[in-house]
Amino acid sequence: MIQHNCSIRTAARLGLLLLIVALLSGCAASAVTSKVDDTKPTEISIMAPLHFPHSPSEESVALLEELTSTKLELSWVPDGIYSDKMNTALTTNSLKKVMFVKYIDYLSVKNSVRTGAFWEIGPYLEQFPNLKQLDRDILAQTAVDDKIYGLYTERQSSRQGIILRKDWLNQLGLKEPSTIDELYNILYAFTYEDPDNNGKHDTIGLTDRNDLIYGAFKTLSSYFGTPNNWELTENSFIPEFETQGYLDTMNFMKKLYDEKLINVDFPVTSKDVQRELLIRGHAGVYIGAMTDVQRLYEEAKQFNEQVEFTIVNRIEGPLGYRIWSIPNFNGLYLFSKKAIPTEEELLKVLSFFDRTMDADVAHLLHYGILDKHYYVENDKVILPEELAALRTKEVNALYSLMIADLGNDNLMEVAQQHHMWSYAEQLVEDNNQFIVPDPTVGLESMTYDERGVELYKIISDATYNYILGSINEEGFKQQVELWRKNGGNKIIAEYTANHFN
Amino acid sequence: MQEATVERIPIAAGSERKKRIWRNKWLYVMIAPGILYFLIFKYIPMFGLVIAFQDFKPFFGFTGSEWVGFKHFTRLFTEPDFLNILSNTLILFGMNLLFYFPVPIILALMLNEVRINFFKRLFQSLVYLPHFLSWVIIVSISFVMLTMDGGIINELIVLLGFEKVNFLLSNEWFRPVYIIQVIWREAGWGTIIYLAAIASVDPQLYEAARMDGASRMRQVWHITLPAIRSVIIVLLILKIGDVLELGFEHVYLLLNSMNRDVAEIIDTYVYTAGVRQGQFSYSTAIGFFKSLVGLVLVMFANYLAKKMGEEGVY
Repeated sequence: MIQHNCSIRTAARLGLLLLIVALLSGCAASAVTSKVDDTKPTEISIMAPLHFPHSPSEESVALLEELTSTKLELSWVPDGIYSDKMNTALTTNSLKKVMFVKYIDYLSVKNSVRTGAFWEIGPYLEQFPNLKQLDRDILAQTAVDDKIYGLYTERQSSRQGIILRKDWLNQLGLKEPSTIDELYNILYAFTYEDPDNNGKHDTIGLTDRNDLIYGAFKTLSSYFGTPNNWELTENSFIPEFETQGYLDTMNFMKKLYDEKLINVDFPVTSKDVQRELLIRGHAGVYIGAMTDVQRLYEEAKQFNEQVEFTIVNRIEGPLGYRIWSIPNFNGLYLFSKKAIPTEEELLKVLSFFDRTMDADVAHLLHYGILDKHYYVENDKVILPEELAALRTKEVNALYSLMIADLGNDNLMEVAQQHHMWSYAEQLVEDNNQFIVPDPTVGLESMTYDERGVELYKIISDATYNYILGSINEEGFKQQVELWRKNGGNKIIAEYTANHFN
Repeated sequence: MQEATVERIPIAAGSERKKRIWRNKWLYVMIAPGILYFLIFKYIPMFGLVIAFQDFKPFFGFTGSEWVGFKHFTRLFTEPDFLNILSNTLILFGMNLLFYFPVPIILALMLNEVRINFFKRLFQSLVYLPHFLSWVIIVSISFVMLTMDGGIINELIVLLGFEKVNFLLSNEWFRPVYIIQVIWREAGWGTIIYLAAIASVDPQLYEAARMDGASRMRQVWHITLPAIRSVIIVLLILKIGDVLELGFEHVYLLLNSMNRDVAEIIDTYVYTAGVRQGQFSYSTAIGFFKSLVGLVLVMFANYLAKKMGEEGVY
């Protein structure tokens, strides 16, 4: 009981055990692989995140193995604990042959990449018909010291937008917002003008959570003209929190907080609670990924048959339409040097991923088994609603294995989709017209890699404290000064040196 | 048992000792799993501490990583937040000792006074129960109760005509909330050892006291408490050894931007600054420092206990 919470010692202890196990199994594995000849299927072990309650069915995996002539050992790790598992595997050097690294964890993995724990795959890509067509820009975004180590899973640049209760707007005779002021008026009306028409003051405007990035804050900050993390000037970089836009956003949030147009506990509200507020009809506006609207709608309908949602992506601010974007990769598949001892074997593993981009395998990973999970009509994929549950159970998890799917021309398009979903996709596409990229993507800063998380804490704390009124503008500036002193200045210097040389 | 008294004879030669070991072989066999456990899970991992003096890179391992001396310790002691974090940790520990530690003793004494056996058992089981809930559950339940967006406690406060209290997002309320949660979860479980100690008190003492007309309170004060005094001291020393083990999970769940000034403790700092950024050496160095502080405090407490004529733990 005394040792209960001694995380370090526990980790060290576990680490050692795992190390022993890894060493033993490592010996065993290398003994086997050295005897592999070409007629045998390639053995590939992969660690990948599981975003669904079920791992894919044996039937689907068997088909995948057959199509790619491999013997797969897939370790599905639930998404929620993926980062921890990955870190453990990394610390104890007990990696699978192929490991997925999420974009947000890539920062900490970069240090391992630099020590040479993974294969540099850049030079090999040209040999493969599909891999050589990977997007150069995205590959460049993933590079460490200009070298390419991973195959990326793709995602849209920006899904950010506003989800609103359409029926509430109608009830109050309001239209969808197109400027920040209109948005504010809607939040106000949703709070004080009884949008659900039940005679009680029991609603709020905005539902937000303890996340300044994927919550409402960063998206609002784009509307106010804040740069995406950094602003590139003629000779230097300025962090976003030293810009007027950031201050304006904080003031806007402060106003929402003071007038109680937002759930007042948002700094400690989880995503589940945040969604719940919208689903149960306590709040009318949700700012975040617009593609969430489909699931929100389905869940809200269980409480209220009349519920209607709409989505908006164009809010005009002082600098016109703007929306922040993220690098186009969601994560990377990295290839362990220890688990893949020879170049020859690496090529086999890469050819598996090359194969997954061919039409037949890509369709299996994306839609499932033809005529069981989906149908094809007029060269379009039909995903029948009644098979949705089956797909979730048997195939959807496989999507994690898909690299570069958005740019893959081999994939057939889906014919009919839900109205809301396709509208959201359309607006996500529209976001591309005015995205604000982060100018430091692809630049290197050792200080940021080492202390970025810790330093960001200073700024996020100060931002919450400002919004909730614990500190004023002067106090906020002091915190920014602290950020600069504790490493921020170094980060700026490193980015500047890296960019201008 | 008789053998044990025979063995008091002074040991002479090596052969004598071998014989002795052979004679007691079953005792050694019985203790073996315990020794193995400590070797494998406590002593061998200690070698991992070397990474506190290295720039540890998993790929290079213990042998290949660069040695950097006291670099990580220097960084820790020069960190601007260091003093704040250390004092937060010590204050939380002090509150733990002051407010939590006596509760199981009082609870055990009260349970001991319950006359009807059925109720005694029932209450005992009921107070144990929270120990088996994870911190995540306890903190979530408190969150639902304390939130300002319709939490039951705040609704009650409003109903009584007061202003809402921001329990979750303030520096002032973090420590009380923390302590109350600790007491709620652990107090019942903590009574077990005290109840066992109380059970071993000779009933004749109570009978004699009652003959002399001692009230119940007097009996508790003059018989029960002195009888379990040494147990209390031992547990106190052990508790002090835990000084910096305040429950990472618990504090981390309660921690947020608005109470970080008082809620950031060494464990949570290790997590954000070290583990999440893959700085294993730095994390280990902090853990090492923490253990040293714990060791010094235990030795001090043990010394005090011996001064007061108690047994101590070693």
